[in-house]
Amino acid sequence: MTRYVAQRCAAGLGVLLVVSFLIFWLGTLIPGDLSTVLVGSEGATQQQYRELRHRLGLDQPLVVQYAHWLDGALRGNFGKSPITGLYATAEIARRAPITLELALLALAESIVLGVLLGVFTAVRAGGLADVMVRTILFVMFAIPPFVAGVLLVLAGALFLKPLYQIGYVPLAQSVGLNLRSMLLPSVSIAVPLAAMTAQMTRTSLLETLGQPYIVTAMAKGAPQRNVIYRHALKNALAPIITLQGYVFGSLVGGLIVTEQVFNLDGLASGLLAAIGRRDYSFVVTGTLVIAATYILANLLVDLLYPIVDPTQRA
Amino acid sequence: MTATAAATFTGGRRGRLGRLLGHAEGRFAVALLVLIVLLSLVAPHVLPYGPTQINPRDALQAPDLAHWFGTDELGRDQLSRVAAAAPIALYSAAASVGVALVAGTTIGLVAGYAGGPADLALSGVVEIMFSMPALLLALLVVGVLGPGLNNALLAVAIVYVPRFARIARGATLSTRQREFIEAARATGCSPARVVVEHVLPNILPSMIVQTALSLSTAEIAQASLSFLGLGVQPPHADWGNMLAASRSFVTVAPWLVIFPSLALVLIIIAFNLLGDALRDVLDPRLRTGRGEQAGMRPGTA
Repeated sequence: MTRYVAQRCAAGLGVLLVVSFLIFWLGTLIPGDLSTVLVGSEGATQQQYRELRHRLGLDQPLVVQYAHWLDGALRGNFGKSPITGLYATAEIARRAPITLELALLALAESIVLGVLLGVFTAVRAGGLADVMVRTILFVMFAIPPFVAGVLLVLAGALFLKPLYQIGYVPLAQSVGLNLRSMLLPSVSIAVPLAAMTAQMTRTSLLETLGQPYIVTAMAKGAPQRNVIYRHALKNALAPIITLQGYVFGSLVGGLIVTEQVFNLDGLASGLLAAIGRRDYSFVVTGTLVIAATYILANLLVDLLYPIVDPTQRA
Repeated sequence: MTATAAATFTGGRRGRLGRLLGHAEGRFAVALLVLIVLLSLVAPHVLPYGPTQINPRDALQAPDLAHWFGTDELGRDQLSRVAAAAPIALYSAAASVGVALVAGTTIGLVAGYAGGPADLALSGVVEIMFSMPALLLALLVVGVLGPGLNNALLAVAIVYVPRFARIARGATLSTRQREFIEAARATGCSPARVVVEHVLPNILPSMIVQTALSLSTAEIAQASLSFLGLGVQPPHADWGNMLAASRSFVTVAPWLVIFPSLALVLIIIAFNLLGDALRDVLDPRLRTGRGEQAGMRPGTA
C-alpha cells in the first residue's frame, strides 16, 4: 500500500514537471511577451525593449529560463509578478481559500443531492416519480455552470433575496454571510454534477438491489430504510466514488466560469486575468496548483476504492 | 426503458439511420436538431432585423409582438441574435469534435497498431493531457492562439484529442489480435492497408459513439470560452457571449438572459439524446444508465 502511494506520488510529480515545462513552452508561443505588456506598444525604443527583456531573462533560451524557474520553484520561490509586484505564492495563498471553499461546497452539494435523488429514483424505478425526477435530472445535466450561475443571479435578485449576497465575505469574518455569498455560486456548479451523481447512484443501486442478499435482508423483515442505506447503498458506492474522480475535471471548469459570474476573486479568475496580461509566474504556478489538486483527487479516489470495495484490495 | 431496448433489437435489419429513427430518443434528437438547422437557415431571410443591427430607440424592450425575445441595450433584436448564434453553435461543436475525431483516431490507430516506442510516446502525451482539467487546458491554448471562434474551437479540439486517442488505441489493441488481421497480414497487406481497410472499419462504431457523446460537452466548452470573452467576439452573436453581455442587465431585462440560456440548454439536450441513441444503436454493449455514460466523458466544461 505505502509502495503504491509512493509510486503514484512519484508519477504525479513527473506529470507536474512535464506540465510545468509545457506551460512554459506554450508561453513562448504567444505573440508578445511580458516586456511588451510592461512597456506598452508605443513610445519605447528597441533598445529599451532589449534591456527590459534582458533584465527579465526573456532573451535566454527556453531551457535556461525553465531551469532558472525550476531552481527557484524547488526552493519554494515560484517567481514574482513584475506587473503587480506580488509573489505568485502569496497571490495563490490569498485566492486559493475562496476557490477551495467553493469547490468543496459544490462537491458536497452535488454528492448529497445526487445520492439522495439517486436513491429516490432507484427505489421508485419505473414509477411516475422516477420518470419525472429523471427528466428533471436530464435537463439539469444539460445546464452549463455559467448558465446556471446567471439564472441563479436572476432568481436571487428576484425571489431569493435572503439567500443571495453579492461580494465575497471571508469565513473568518462571518460564517453566515460567507455561506450566503457562496451558496448560489456553489449551487450553480453543483447542478450538472448532482445530475451525473444521481444517475450513477440510480444505476449502481438498482444493480445492487437485484442481488440475492438484498432479497434475504428484506425477507427476514429488516426495515426497508436500513436495507437500502446500510446494505445496498454501501455496496453500490464504488462506481459513485469513481465518478467523483471524473467529476473533479468538470468541477474545475465550473469554478473558472462561476468565479466570473459571481465576481469571486479566486484562483480561477486570477488565472484568467494572468493569462490576459501574460503574467507567467502566476499562470504557471496557478495551473500547477490546479493540476496537482486534480492528480491528488484522482489518487484519493483510487485509494478510497479498495476501502469501499473489499474485492479490489490487493 | 423496455420500449427503447426493443427498438434496438427489432432494428437489426434496417440501416443505421433507420435504427436511429426507430429509437424514441434518437427520433426526438434528430427532429430537434433538424428543426434547429431549419430555423437557423430560414431565420435570416424571415426575420425583419439583422443580428447586429443597432437601434438605440428600441433599447431594452421587453418581449412584444415587434420583438418576440425583446431587445438588448443597443436595441438589437434578441430573436435575430439567438437565431444567428444557432449555426455557430452547431458548427463549433461539430468542427471541434470532428477535428478531435480525426486526430485522435489517427494517433490511437498508430499507437495501438505499431506498439513499442511509438505507443509509449503517444500514450505518454495523451496521459499528460488527461492530467489537466479540460477547460483549463482549453483556456491555456486559447491564451496562446488568441481569442476568436476558430481558435476557441481548435482549443476545444486539442483538449478532446486524448479521449478519442485513448478509445481508438484500446479498440485497435483488441482488434489487432483477431484472426482476420492475421489473415490480411499473411496475404501480404502493408501495415498501412491493414490499418485503413481492416482495423479502422472495426473501431469506427466506437468512434462514432464517442463523437456523438462529445458534441454536448464540446458545445458547453465552446460556449464557456465565449462567455469568458475568448470565443466568438462581439458584435457577432453567440449564446455564451450574449449571456456574458446581458449579465449586467439581469434584473432590468431578464429576457436577455432567459432566451440564450434556453437555446443553449435545448441544443445540449438534443446532443445528449443523440449521443445516447447512437450508443444504443451502434454499441449496445455500452448500454448503461446515463450517469455511467456521463462518467465516461470526463471534463464537462
